[in-house]
Amino acid sequence: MAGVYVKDISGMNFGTMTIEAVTGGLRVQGQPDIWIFRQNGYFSYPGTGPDSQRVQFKFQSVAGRSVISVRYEGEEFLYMERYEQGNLPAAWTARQGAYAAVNINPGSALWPGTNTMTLEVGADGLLRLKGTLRGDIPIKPLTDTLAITGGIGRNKGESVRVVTVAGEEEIEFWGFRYRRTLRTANTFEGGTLFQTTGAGGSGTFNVLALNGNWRQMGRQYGALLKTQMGEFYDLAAAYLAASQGSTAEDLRLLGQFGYNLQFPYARQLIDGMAETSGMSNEKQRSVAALMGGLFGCSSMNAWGDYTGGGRWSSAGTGTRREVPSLGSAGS
Amino acid sequence: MVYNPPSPQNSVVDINYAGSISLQTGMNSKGIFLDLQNGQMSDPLTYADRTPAEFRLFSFLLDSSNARELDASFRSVSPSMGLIINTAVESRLDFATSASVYEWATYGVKQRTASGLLASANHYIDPAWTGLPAIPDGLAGGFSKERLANLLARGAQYKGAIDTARMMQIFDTTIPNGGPTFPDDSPLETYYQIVAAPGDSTLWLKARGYSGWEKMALKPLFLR
Repeated sequence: MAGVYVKDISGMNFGTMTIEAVTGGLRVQGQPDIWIFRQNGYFSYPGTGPDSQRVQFKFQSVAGRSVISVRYEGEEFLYMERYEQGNLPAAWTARQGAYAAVNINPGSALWPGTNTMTLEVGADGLLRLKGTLRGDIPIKPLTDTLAITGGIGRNKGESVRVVTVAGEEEIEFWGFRYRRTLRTANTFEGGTLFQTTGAGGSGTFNVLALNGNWRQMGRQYGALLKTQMGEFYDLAAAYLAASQGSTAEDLRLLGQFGYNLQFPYARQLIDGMAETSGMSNEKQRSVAALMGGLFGCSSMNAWGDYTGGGRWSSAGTGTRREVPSLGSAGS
Repeated sequence: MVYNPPSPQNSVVDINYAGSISLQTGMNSKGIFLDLQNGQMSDPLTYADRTPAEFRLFSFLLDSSNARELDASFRSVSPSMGLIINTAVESRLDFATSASVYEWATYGVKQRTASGLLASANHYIDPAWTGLPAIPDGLAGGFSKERLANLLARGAQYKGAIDTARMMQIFDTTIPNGGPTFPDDSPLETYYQIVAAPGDSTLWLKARGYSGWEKMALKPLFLR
């Protein structure tokens, strides 16, 4: 009886919950008391009063599926179904990551919010579509390109298909089609350069993931973003020359000044960057010292009662980052 | 840029220009998010010989795993210029949720807290400060008072329903329409915007005129 089950969580949301055997009965995740076994073959909350068995639960097999029914005021309803993940094909685990819908307008009435979801294997080993319109739902792969949502009932047991559109995989369920929000663009010595996909509307951003000691991360950084760093330096140098009359020597001196103020780990990072970026140490230090500056940012945090769920939800910032300046500058 | 240094330092994401080694907006793998605002209208002093605050903020995220450690960091050093730092913490260690605004002057720090909503722009408002310069209305004050008032009004308006999508909507709203964002025809411009869910290691980045809200789910990239 102990195991993972799929049940309605709240409203039309559904997800997984666990039942574990404990002394005297079963501990059901999220419920205030244990279930104990009764002589009529049902489980109920402990106690001897008239209300203690008002709600009763029964484990049974229906058409070959292991379910729990709930008996309430003389009627019996389907409550939850036992969920077995089974083997996870490598094709599905490789798809872990963030996705955004591409076949509806983000934030439209069909989806009250940004239509995104994350495919993830959790610490419990279950594959889920997280953050969907119906919560964090488990899915069970049937083939490398087909899975079904867990459980029995509305929105459950439905297909989750992988389709290929313009040479790229997309995940389709409930009429929505999702594309990855990060694509791998390049790798170097343990570091990976990703790019967002433009699923938010149009332009994309680089997302650089570095791993190792600070010099190793610097080498990855320098190799994977050498082009972008060069473009940034050229734009900044041109701007600073035009607006402040700054010369290449000014940039070099300020780069060295900033380098001297950096913590030792950051200096190791910058040194590593110069090993693979093709820049001189002096130029690399100048790039490292460039930062967005000037003025006009706003920020807001909302949590608890303001988010509706009591849980931390979001922090936001509307920020203005002017063209780069050298040295310390807030926005 | 997502950094995964050797333990015991945390994984940190720094939203920044390619090659710049500093941090104005970032988040770590322990659920701490922070965002920097200029506070020079309230504290115009600068100290070129001090370690830039942007270097320190990077270290704060590398080394802080909960609100208490972050708070100790802000109280241990003074910045090189007047700043305002919004911080948000959903600790993965103790599941504590909190947020603070640090009005971080070159000569001291005040911590603002609240129950559910905090906002800041470019001036200090903690009542414990004395002798602060007056902040002009409108453009002369960078619309700082107007932006702050708009954010607090939107927070009150949407109380109980502020999720990340609502946060994006709020930050897509221009100042004349009740939001914090400079309109396209303004002498001041909004360049980029960020919404973060630190407990989920997820953020959205938008560069106005270039992109929509691009989602970055960083949990798989945070290795520490």
